[in-house]
Amino acid sequence: MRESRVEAIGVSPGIGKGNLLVLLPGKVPEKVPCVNPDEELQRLEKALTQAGWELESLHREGRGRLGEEKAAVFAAHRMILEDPLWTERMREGILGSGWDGAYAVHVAAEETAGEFQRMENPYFQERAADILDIGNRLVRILQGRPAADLAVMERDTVVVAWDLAPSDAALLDPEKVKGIATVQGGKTSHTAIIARTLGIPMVAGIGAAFFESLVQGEEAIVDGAGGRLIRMPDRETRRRYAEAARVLEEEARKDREWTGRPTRTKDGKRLEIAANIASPQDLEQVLANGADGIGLFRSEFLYMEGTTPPSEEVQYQAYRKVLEGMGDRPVVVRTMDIGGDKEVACLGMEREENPFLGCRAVRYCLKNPEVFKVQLRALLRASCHGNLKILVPMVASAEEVRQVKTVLSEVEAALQEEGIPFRKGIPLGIMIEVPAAALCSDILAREVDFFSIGTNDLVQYTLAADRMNPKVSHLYSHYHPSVLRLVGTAIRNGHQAGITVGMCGAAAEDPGLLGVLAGMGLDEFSISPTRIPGTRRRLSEIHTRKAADQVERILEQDTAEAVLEVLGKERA
Amino acid sequence: MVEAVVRSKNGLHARPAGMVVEQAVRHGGEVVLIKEGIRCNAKSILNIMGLGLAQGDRIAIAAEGEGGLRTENLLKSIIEGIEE
Repeated sequence: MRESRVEAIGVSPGIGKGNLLVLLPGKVPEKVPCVNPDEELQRLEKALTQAGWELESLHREGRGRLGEEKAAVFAAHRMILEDPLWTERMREGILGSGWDGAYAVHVAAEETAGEFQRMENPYFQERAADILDIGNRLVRILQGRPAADLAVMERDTVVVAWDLAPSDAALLDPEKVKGIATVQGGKTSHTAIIARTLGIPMVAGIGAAFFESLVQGEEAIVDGAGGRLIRMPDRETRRRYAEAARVLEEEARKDREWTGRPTRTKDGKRLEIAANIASPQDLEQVLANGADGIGLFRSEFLYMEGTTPPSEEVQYQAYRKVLEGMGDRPVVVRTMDIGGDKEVACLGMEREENPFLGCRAVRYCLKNPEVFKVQLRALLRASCHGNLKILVPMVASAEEVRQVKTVLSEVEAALQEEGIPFRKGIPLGIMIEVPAAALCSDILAREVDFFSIGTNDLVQYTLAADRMNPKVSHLYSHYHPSVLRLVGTAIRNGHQAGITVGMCGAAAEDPGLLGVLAGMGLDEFSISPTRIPGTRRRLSEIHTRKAADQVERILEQDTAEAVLEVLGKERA
Repeated sequence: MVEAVVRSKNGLHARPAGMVVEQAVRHGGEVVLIKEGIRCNAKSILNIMGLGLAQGDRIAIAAEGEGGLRTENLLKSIIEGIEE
């Protein structure tokens, strides 16, 4: 077999080499009659035994990596697997109804899970997911597909999948997973964000045909910066990538030297480099990389697990954990940014024709104040445990800010009345991610304590290009002069009103833009934890006043390409 | 037959239910838990969790055959022993 490669979109930088683990999309079993019930029954017994072994090894290996408590779930799965209540139903499906094993398991799992879903206690309702999970494992074995236990896998693996759920990606062990490649997704998909957080190189858009041609266990290289997946690399390719990986490692070593230092530009201006996080679990990485604070805690991840919205207590504990972990360093929590591409099952949101222009984020919150108030109460209660700031996404006009303030003061009054302590005067900021907000940032600056520019949405709304649609993705660029002008406007207006301006989109960690942003006077860069030391090092080489002189010329360019040319770099 | 009261704040969830099953399967004869007249097979974790036992629930434990009383008392100590 000769080397072959596919050009894709690099979504998490770095170079990784390993053996392919191809995750085939799961197939729902069809109703197939079985020819020989006795044989089919034997296949089922064998599948049950194999699933038992898999769960046992997951339990054993998981104990070391995840700790006994988290690994115990696999022991419970093992016990459920052998439970006569549903194994009898499986056997009955084969012998009584004459189905094949996979369909018999599918029906038994659906039926049993349904019984749990109808129970009153939410804990027992959630066990339905465990039952379906084990059912899927059995179906997978019966269909002859290989195991893909993402939490526990061989060393030096490159995971390839049609699409990888964020919850699956979160299980990946960076010690073992050296690269990820998917057919779907893009730079700003949540899986890509998690890959960057974990520091795993990733490419997306490898194409269905290439995906179908991949073989389990083949050697492959993921080139996350160049946007390439190479299978069966030949000697010369391996040599070149080994050299490139060595250079990257050397750069990373230099970057690491900047981990604990203060962030200062060449001309001595103090800047803040904060981290973007999605859950309290990310704290470890934030602290290890020496962040000056948390510039964006994406609280919506709390809403994406489970079938019921997270309670005030669950949210309070999550916020408190992060606040306590950060000590007096600031923690900016963004209120739920749901809708758009982030569908949330537990809130029962209606499907919309045009979700990105629909009832998302602050719009949803103001329409559903009872849901919003739970989050605000949890935030206010947690405020006693650290340096909290609240950030509201998707604001388009001043009345939305005023309405948020009204809701907030209602929550404050209620807590006061109940005698529950909270910190008064928590700084309130807004995302600048709708062009309207950037254009009217002088008006909005009077209403709030800080701005945080969200470039991912700002680019897509300004250029009217869906960031997930490959047909228009060439239009999507944070180098476009229109986007940079809006960024400049927001920073200038913020500063004129005496408030700080940060940025929490992908642009804030793009080495090519650091000079422009520092030149415009951006105060805070909020980025993936692993990018902090390198960004700090690069900012230390920038002279802000010299960079400021360049800004005007850049804003006069006619295209994104022309901006890139002036910046003197090729688009990564 | 002995009686037991669920003490755990979270009810009889997966882990204690698993411990009950582990002991019940060692008993040769039939072992059942009974809550308000509903009988369940104590050798089935799904069956036990299906009872949805909550804190304060009172159940009866019955193990048939040789060593029945010993098994009943063992299960009672598991069910009442977990208070987390």
